[in-house]
Amino acid sequence: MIKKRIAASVVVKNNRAVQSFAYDKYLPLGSVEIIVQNLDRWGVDDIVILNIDRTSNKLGPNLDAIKKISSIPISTPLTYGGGISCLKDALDVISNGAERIVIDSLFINKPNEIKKISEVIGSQAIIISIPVKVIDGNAFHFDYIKNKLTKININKIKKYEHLVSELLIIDVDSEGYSGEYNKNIIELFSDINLGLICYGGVGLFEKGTNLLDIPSVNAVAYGNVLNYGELFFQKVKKSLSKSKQKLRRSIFRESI
Amino acid sequence: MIKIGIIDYGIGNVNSLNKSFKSIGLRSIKSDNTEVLEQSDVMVLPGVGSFSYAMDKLKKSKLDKFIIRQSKKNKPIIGICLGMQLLTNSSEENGKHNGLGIIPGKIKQLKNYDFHIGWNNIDVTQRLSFIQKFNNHEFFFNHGFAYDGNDLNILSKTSYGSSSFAAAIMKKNTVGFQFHPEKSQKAGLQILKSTINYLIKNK
Repeated sequence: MIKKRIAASVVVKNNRAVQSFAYDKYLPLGSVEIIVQNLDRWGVDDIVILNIDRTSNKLGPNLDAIKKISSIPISTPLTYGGGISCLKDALDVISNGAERIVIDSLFINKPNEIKKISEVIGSQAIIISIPVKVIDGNAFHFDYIKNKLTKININKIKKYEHLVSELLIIDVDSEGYSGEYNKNIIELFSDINLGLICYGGVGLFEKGTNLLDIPSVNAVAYGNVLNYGELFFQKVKKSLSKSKQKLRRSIFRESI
Repeated sequence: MIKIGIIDYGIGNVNSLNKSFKSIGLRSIKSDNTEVLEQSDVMVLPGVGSFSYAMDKLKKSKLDKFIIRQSKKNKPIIGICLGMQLLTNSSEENGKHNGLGIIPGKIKQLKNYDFHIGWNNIDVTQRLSFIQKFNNHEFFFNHGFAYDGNDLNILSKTSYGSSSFAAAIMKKNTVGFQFHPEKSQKAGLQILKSTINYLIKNK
């Protein structure tokens, strides 16, 4: 039986892992490799790197970071997003050690590229990230580079159902805070036949548990909260195991 | 020391795989040079990508014929994820495309265009010691197509909803994993090591 995943997201800015708060405020955490090495050691189900300043600075994907992570090495599935704007970028990210890529700005600015990328790296390797704000019951895409809101067209996303494999739906207002992921967002995406990864204010224990019990939710992603203590991931997983879902037993390694 | 030759044909997570082998004490080199690969004890065909694109890359570099020749010489070969699928006769991903034909069977799309992504346990179906000890262990899968072939070639299966499909396949000295052992933490690295030792012993 396939298990629902507890993913760890690592937000990267200026080549450093940071704590992110609603795409508005950032606090430094340190080296990306060390953060990822810890997550690997803690036995998280998968690791998602979100390098948020690569596209705005026209830097392309952060291959140095991926290479350093691969050379640790880690034995946890790795997904990378940030600065991917063409097929070559996607191939570079995969060949340097990621199994999957996250597409964000490309979906808004050059959606036709997604088909080209999908035909080469396969739809199983592509996740579309959508930072979402809910206003008056409507879902809006939040472009954190231009600080712009655009109403989400669900039919447009449906066209990508066979070209990508999952959606990373970020609750922008809760991102970085221990609030509560807005479950209305999931309802707004219910017509789309793709699994969801929920990120942003997933929170602890009961809140996360409820999200995992929603059939379309394949995974929940934790960010800042994991960096508060050595065994925090184990605590999260233990509490989420109270859900109706069967979770994978993570094996914690005490040393590297 | 056992030498692993990772077939670098321009698609797949070769760098992380290379480091993973080193982490379990094996000598590993990634290359598209047939002379270098021929000197290895075990060849590994990785792959993250679409079947047709990957086969085109193998054909253009003539690595397809090299891999087939090596399998006929009973060289141990391990295919991972897409690499496993390439070892079969054909796939229906993006139209029908021929594979390497080393392990009989074909690759078919999962029902309802579904994806099988995440950690799942495997049910070992063959009495072979190198894999039997991993019965019911969990591994990381990421695919939308799966093997359809004779049960005799299937080493282990996994269940997803109402479906069940191959998690690992084998023919002579060639083994394919549908999951990513290199990204399946402790159990993944152990199954890789166990398989490599078995294949070398039975060469």
